[in-house]
Amino acid sequence: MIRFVLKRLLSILPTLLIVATVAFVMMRFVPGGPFDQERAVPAEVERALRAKYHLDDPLAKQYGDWLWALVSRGDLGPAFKYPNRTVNEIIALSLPISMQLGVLAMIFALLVGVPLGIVGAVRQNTWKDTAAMATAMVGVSIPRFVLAPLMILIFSLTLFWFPVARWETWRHMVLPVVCAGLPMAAYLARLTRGGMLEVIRSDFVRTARAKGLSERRVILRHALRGGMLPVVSYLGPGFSHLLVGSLVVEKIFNIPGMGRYFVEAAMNRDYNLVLGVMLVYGVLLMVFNALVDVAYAFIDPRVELG
Amino acid sequence: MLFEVKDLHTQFSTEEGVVRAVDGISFSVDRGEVLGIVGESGSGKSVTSLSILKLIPDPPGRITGGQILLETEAGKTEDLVRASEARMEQIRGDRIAMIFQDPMTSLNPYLRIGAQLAEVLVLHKRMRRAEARARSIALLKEVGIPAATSRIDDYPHQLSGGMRQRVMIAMALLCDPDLLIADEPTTALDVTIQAQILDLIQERREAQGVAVILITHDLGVVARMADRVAVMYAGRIVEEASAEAIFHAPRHPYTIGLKRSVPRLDVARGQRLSPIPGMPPSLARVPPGCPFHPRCEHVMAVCREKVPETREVSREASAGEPGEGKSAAGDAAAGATKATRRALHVVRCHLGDPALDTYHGHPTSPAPEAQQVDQPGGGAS
Repeated sequence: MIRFVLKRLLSILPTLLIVATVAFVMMRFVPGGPFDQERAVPAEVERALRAKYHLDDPLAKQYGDWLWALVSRGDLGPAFKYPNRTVNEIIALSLPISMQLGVLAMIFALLVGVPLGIVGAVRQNTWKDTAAMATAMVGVSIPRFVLAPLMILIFSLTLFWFPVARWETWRHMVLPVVCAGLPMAAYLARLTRGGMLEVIRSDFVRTARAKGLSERRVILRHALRGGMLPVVSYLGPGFSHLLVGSLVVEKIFNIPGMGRYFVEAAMNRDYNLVLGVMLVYGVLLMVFNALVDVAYAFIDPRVELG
Repeated sequence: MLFEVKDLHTQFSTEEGVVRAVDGISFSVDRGEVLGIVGESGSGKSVTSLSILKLIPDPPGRITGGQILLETEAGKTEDLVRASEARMEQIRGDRIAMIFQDPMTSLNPYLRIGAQLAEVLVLHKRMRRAEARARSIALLKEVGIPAATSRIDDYPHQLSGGMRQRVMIAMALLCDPDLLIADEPTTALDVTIQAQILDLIQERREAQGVAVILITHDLGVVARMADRVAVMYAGRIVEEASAEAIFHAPRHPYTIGLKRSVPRLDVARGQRLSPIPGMPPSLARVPPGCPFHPRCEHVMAVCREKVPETREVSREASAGEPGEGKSAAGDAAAGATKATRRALHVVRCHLGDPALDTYHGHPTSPAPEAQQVDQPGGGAS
């Protein structure tokens, strides 16, 4: 088990190198640069800036230097648009906030989506099922950039329950977390229902009933594990959807998370910041996928780790 | 009588209409007795077994009539049809246990077999975990699992099919049930394992005196195991008799056809098997009259119009009263002692019925004889 986890984590490194290389090259091929703006900077200033950040070096040398700094010192370089801060500092400040948002949103999605799906499956074709699945359909269909303003309008500006923006107390967190997690909750509900329906019809669940177990125990002890497999395998890609979704949510709720910097940096051609944030996202995603694989093996003893 | 089913009806509502999967069947089993229920796929055998435990998925299925009588204490019987779900949960796995067809899918792949065994004892016998585990290991040993002490921590996929079926049997026997329902217990297993599993059931029956309802489409299995045999067709029992009578003097053309469809070693090489022509009817559209008439080689006009009554065809034992000759199977079985019941032979067919069998003439007309089965070209179309 430990060997598998280590192997799996090590295998992230080559992938990460490819991601870094491709991202580096692509960023440089995007037209424009960090210092050409509508309000033109004096030519000599721009020259000085470019020299300072070694942007006139050959591309291969820039890449080599950047990679060496990263590997040897873990240094992602300076952020061009935030002259006083390095990329490392920006990530150190914003990553915890993004992680909070992401983890809370995922917990919310699991807590809402999975029970909803179970109810849908156990009460199949009753009004409870229909209601749960209709809600899920709506949740899947409404994009976050529609959901967020709607929720702000209702819960902040009309009912005054929660603040409109920022990330400070738990009251600030409610709307962004719900907004980021709701589409995932809806999708999880559908997955859970489908997975549970399949398992509920299986022979071993019939066996469990024939043993005299109560319906509750049949569902929770015998059916749930198998029914959760599709959910668990979705958590990997689901996490990436959540990250993408949080870009929008962070922007709308003005949360100083990493997603906001990612979008801004891409717009500003802030090469180092884009690469840094992208690498962090990449690591998160791959580590999470590795965890999902391990979880899968925990749930289904037939899965061999190797 | 330990267990008795009277005029049981189970229906499913489907898009094609109401399916009468079990349409008024009656039978009984006593302690230490094996009742075989045979029939083709779709004849309602499995629905019967699920109905007994009230495990019919509702909706779409529902028990619409009849009684399922289980002797609780000496002399007292309880009608399971009217029992609450909570009461059924007490009975399932404790008084009445079930073995299913496919051991590959009937055990939970996500749980260790020890956990699946022990939970039955924790539930019904209020045992502590350690105690339940010890009893589980003991039972695994009894059903012939080698190294049971370590095997108990295996997952089902680590066991072979035969071993899994042994585990299923151990699971069913954990609480010393009064009645064991084995629904095609050997169909999914290869032949050598089949024999072992049947021996095991036979052995447990003798050791624990458990009553067994053995559901199968395999006449060989029934011949080997059963004391009495009920033949099902289209949700009804068309013939019921001692295993001996079913094999040596079958009365219903369907039973005769089933018997003829079994490959035999003592028949000359090159001779074709003569299966029953056609398919069992869809239970949503059972033909009027006798449901077997479209496939029956002895079909008479009356068969197309009138559903045959169950009647008694012979009584070798002396205990029966003469006037009882035409009573329905359920009543006859209910009133009979074990000895007379053993000899009771009922059939649901117009053929040979003195009142209706105009074609075959006189009242005592022998039904198609067993020997006919072996004749070359025995009349199958």
